[in-house]
Amino acid sequence: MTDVMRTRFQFGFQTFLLATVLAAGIIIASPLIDTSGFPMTGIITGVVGLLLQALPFLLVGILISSAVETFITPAFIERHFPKSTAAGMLVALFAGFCIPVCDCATVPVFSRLHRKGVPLPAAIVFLCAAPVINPIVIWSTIFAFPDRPLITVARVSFGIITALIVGVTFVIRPADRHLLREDLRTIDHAHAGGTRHSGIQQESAIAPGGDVDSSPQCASCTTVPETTRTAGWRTRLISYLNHTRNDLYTIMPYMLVGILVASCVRAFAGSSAPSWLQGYGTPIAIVAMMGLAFLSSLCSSSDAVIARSISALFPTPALLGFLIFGPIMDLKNVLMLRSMFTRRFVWRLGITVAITCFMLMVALALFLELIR
Amino acid sequence: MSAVAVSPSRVRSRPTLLNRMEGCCLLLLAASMAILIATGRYLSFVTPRSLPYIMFAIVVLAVLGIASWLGWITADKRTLRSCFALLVVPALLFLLPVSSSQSLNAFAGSRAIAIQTSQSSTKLPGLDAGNRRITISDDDFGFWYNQIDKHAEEYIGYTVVLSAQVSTNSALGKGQFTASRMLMTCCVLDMTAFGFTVDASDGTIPKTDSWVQVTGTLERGRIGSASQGYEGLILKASSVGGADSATGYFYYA
Repeated sequence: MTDVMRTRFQFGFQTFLLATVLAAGIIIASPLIDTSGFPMTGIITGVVGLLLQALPFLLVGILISSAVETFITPAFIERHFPKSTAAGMLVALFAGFCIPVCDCATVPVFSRLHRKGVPLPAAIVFLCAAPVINPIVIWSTIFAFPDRPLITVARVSFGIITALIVGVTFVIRPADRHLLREDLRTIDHAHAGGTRHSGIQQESAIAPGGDVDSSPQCASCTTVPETTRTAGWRTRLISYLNHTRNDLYTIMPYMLVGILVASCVRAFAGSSAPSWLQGYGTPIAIVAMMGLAFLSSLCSSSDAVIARSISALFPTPALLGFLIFGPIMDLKNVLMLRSMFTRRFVWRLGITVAITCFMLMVALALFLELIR
Repeated sequence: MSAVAVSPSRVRSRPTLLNRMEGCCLLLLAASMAILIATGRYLSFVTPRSLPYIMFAIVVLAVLGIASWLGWITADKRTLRSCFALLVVPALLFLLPVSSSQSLNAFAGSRAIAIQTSQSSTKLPGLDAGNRRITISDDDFGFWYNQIDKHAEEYIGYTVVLSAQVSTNSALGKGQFTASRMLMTCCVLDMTAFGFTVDASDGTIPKTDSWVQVTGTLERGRIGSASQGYEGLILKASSVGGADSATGYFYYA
């Protein structure tokens, strides 16, 4: 029955044409929809503006991230990563500054670093810092806030502080020995003395129950076998283009949803901040923005543009909560982490990041209140 | 999960109908963005600062489109759905005319005026230093707002003449309004009114969104009420009259 329904409702060429005509009809009819009181034109205008602004940064992030994935071997990263905790944490921060990868690309790198013996706190510092402080993110934040350069400085500074605090908590209270899921440990063991496949490939290919993983994740985490890395330029170029396109198709839905949410918030809430979100309401605003960042799962290379669009509605600490917490821990990253690590570890990591980020933003709010 | 690895045999294979369609959709999205630029409509949505970034995106999408058309990119049964949601819908949004009157200030339109921050201080437009008078033309509003904001003490006591739109908010005191124009920092969603706080001498506030010509003196004063306000720069109006509407929004160059 399911197969029959799947066949019947398959998105074929006719459905494609019909959906296109329908979408065009809705867009053209938006002024009519406005008359019912629903601000359709305002939402569409906002979506177009945000899309024009965010898409280029998303593409830059994807192009560079795909290049890192296609042309730099994991062995290179493993070779240059120190094995001591303190030095590892510093190198992790430095790597975060230098490696322009989006947040979904850092999860497989983190997994790989951990499996290759890099101290867990150092790997965690990389996981938390890289998506917040990498050059593409800094660039896009400067672009989105040209009149408020301190937002960029604060984003990078608090990103580093958050990463270090989360890393240190794993030094003070080390995690369980077995962090990887049972099925992945089995695969690791099976391949320990045999032919080397891409660990990333295995990690993301296996889902609970042994099915092919269909969780929403960056295509950066998919197959780039060693054979491709050593192949001729034409094959590598085509692999790179495929990787770029797959990343685009994987990340863009999240961006579109985020854009739609931001545009709706702006259309319904207006352009001035609700008074209850200021002063004593700031912690609520911080939680709301962190929650929005978690659910919208935006790519860190373009989230600053979306944050800018609703910056008038929320106090600065809430805005920074969105810009720091989102890239480190969002729904998409949690699903990716869960496909590789135990539930216990993912819970601990997620809660530690959330509490650290929240406390830092509350402290910032208090400080700003004091100097006013 | 989609495989990214491409074997040499796959490279040589003929492009399928799906490849052709995907290529067309990617090129359609690139073309729709190019049309937005060519017609200048993009200025209704983003500032001119975005132009090089949009052009870059067009090139990337076009390259991907050509690669897909040639069959270099692996297409599967989910490709059509992705093409519709991620490429065709955005292209339609870019291509189809949507009235922006609901979200954009109607007078902001699609004319972008840069706020120059590096103008020579000896040739400030509209400045009559001898008579301590500044006549602000429509397109110099942003520059003068910036200049007076940064060098407030220098211009205290000057008479200022400007045309702007009336806006009000709860933070203003009795008899106060803002003589404002529109500012876009990043994109249309952050479009906001900015301008000088005017203290109307007779306490009468013109109709919100109407265009007025204000003549007044720059003073330090209280913005807002005695209990809730703060000290700031105020344009103490000697006359407020009607004015023609000006077009365009400001952005930081």
